[in-house]
Amino acid sequence: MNGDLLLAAALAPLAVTALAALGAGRAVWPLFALAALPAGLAAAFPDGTADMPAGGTLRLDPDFAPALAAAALIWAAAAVQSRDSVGGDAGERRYAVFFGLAMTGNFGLLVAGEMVAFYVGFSVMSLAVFGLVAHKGSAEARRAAWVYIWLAVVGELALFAAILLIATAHDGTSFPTIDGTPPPEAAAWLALIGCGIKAGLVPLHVWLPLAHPAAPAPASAALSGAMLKAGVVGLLLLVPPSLGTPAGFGEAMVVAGLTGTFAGALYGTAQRDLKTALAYSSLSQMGLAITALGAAYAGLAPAGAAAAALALFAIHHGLAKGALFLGAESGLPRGATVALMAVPALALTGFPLTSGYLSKTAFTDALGAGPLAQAITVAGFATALVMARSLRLAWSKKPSPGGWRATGFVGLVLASVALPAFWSGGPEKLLSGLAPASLAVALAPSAFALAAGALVIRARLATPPAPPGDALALGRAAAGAVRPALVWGARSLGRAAERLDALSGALAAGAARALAGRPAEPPDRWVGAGGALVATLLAAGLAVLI
Amino acid sequence: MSPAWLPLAIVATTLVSGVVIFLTPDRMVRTRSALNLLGAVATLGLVGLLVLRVSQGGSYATRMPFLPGAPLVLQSDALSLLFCGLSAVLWLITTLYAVGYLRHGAHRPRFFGFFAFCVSATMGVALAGNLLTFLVFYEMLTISTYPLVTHRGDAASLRAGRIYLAYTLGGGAMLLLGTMLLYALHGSGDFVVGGLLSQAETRPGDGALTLVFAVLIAGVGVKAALVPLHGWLPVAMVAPAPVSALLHAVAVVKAGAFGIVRIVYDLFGQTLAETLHLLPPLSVVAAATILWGSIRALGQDDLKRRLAYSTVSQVSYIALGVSLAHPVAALGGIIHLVHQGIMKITLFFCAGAIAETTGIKKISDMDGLGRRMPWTMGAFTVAAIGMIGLPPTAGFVTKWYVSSGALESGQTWVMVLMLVSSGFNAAYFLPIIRRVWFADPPPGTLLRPKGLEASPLLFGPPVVTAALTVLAALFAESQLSPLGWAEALVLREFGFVETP
Repeated sequence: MNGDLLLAAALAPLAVTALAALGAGRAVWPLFALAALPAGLAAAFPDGTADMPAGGTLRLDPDFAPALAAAALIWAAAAVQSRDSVGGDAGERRYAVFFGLAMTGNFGLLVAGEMVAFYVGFSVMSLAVFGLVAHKGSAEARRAAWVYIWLAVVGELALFAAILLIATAHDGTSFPTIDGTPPPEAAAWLALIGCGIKAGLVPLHVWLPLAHPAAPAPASAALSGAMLKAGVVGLLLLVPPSLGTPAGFGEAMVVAGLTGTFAGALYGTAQRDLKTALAYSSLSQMGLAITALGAAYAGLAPAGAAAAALALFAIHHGLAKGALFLGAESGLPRGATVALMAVPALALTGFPLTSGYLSKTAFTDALGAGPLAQAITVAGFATALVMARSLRLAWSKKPSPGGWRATGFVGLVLASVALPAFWSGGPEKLLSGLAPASLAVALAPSAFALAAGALVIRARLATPPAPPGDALALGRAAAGAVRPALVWGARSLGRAAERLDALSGALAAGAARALAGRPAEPPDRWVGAGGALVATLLAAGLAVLI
Repeated sequence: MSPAWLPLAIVATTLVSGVVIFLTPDRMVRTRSALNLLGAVATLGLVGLLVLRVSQGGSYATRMPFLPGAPLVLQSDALSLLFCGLSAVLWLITTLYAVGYLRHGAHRPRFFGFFAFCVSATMGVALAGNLLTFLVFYEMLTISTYPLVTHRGDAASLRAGRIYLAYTLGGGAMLLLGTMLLYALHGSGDFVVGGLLSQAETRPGDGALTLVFAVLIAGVGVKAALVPLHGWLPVAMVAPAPVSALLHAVAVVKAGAFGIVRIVYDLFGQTLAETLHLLPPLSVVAAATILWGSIRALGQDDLKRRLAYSTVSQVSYIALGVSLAHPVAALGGIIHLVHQGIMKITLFFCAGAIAETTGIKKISDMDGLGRRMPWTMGAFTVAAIGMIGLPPTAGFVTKWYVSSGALESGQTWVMVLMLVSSGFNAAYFLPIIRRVWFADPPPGTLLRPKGLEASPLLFGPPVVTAALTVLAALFAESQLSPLGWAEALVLREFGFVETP
């Protein structure tokens, strides 16, 4: 029974995508919201496996149930908002098809029962996001989509190699988690590249702050809330922390994760566009997840506790960040929007009684009392800054016209308050945040944000212009310097290849002239030759028959 | 009809279709198209029947006396059926497409007649039971494609036709030489499971056999467009789109690639090829061709030329898979016979539909074309993703098996090559996809045509083949998929099967 639910989780969005491709128009958006239902139900009852009609198996790891629940809610809310935010655009049908494919891929990779099914879901999702990022067709959107698709293709290839190496070493395509043998070292590093690109691992993150502001708000919500998590899910599945990793693997991730956490939040504070600031905040938050996972790989945190913390993080950050992105085009008046956005924003800083408090506690519990746990506590301050900045930017944003879209936003804000508590093991954890000792620690970032954040808000014009895409901008400058050499090299190679080909062609043409000694036969004369050939063959056939 | 005649009946049906088409006057378009489709459907039916019989355990051979000690043999085995099935299905689809494409063309009886002869020759190549039969049909293929390459009759076409002949006749001469050498040295050229020469009790000296192998591979290498014998393929792109689609992307290059498979497995055999170290040089040539074709494709602005160089690159996946001496890699190579066929025919169908409907032939003119021809460009995009080798497309299945086999036999460089090749494929297909979907169309062009985007006969076939590209991957595990067939085949050749 539950197996059918897994199958339905992946196939329902695909069926609606087919309707969208056939031109169902605006009617597809409520259908897309409904199509998230099987995934939500599957997350609520995470056991059972299913065999796909085309081969391959489906299975939902209980660790990923929160991620699937979050994904289902975010996609449903994004579909509702897409109806008003994209509906009626010239490219609505195109957007709907890409939206549906990305949704299918996202659910598919979470319920995949073996590596190839996972890769198929991951790849479908990655490719479809290209269409969402490029949708608006502006120069920035095209540039963002171009940077994105190249990194996505590189990621796909790295992941392909990783999966292939694992499959060869293990003589089968089941996940190493099930298999119980660690992946080969090269596979672990390749998986880190493939999944790291998706998860926003510094320095492979450059697509992320470009793509989020370029895409329509609901697509950004799904991208940040649900799809970035696919990178972490992939790493957990392909390189299980419990099985051991190459030397330096976890340490490298911790360094990259901490860099992303702090640099992302601070860089985001200097942004002048709401969605760019939110994208940098996502980068920063994913940095926390990467740090925790890296700590588990490096043996600094117990694998089980880290996985549990990541599961909680997936639903907490997914719902909160999804709600914030939907807030960028909420369809509500300015005051209501900012007030509602303040709820998930506070949660992200780890405010008591919120999902963020639970997630942060889970992280610090997993990491013990070391410097890493302290770093995560301090990260709350950086998050507070970027959230203060985001709310300020949201305040100055022109409200979007109303419609159904507000439903998705408000729904996701409410879900982000209510749902994560379910996965934290009862209300005691939530209430423990009210104990005086932890209360002071938990409130500090928010208090800090009120004070320092006020400065950040006031100083909005004093912040230096920080180009979105940070390292990419540097990279472009560097590329500009070596570009002439590269262009020259590529052109020379092309010319040399062309000459060689031309030479071989000229030889052939010469041979043809020498052989025939006269102009080429027009095709009509060939009819005679063809006739003779056929006559011979038919005669031969007849001779055999007789 | 006795099933023993089935292989001959398949070749004869296509041949007779050609004759009938020739005899139907140009103005009787409907009658000729109907007869042509009848021939294609009948061929498909016969191939289907043969597949059914063979899958039930039958084995059929038609023998005709030809030369002393060397009869013409048409026989059915899993490998020939894979190629026959591909040709029969795609001939039917291409016929529909060609009827739409040449709606206002001249010399149509000649065109469709020779087209049928080409298919006939391809069927013969597929069903050939020994090297001599293979040679005869291989040459027939050369002869019957010339009038199709030069169909337009202008100076450029005639020049291209001449170059085409120089290459293919040269290759044919090499193949003839190799055939004569083999028959003179060994007295037989039968295609035998496990390899004629591997299983022979006495065989010619190693040096002589190595020479025969090199000459034969050079002969079939021309049609398979192995570098440096590939020069004819881009030149032959002056031909009408259906010719480029079925013949130059599928039948002709596949006849060459198919020849490589036959020579390696059924003439020399896995064991002997390994003893004589024949395969590593072939791997190197195939690898060089894969890279060379991609590098040249990057610089082309003419859509058909870019696709032609891409064909050069992709067809060598087959030779590469076969040359790795590992069953899983061989599986990858053999299924690519089919996978590359359905993907590349889609791309050429689209190129032709675009050129016929809008007159656009250059990639730099394709801005915003997706809005004008969404179905055509959708099919193009799916096939291009298949070429890059990303799931869920047939190209991914090929890449997976070839790389997997390479890894299992310790040849890691092949996996790196596959990744680099995928990167190149992305580098020359992604800019097209970006341009057609996300660039603004030039001002003044009609965004949405009234009614259909093109004649349904032009954009229907690529949509069907693009769907096949995805289905072949999604249902790869099914017995009826190309992979299912190829698995049975490799089981036969290697005596066992390993799947990752």
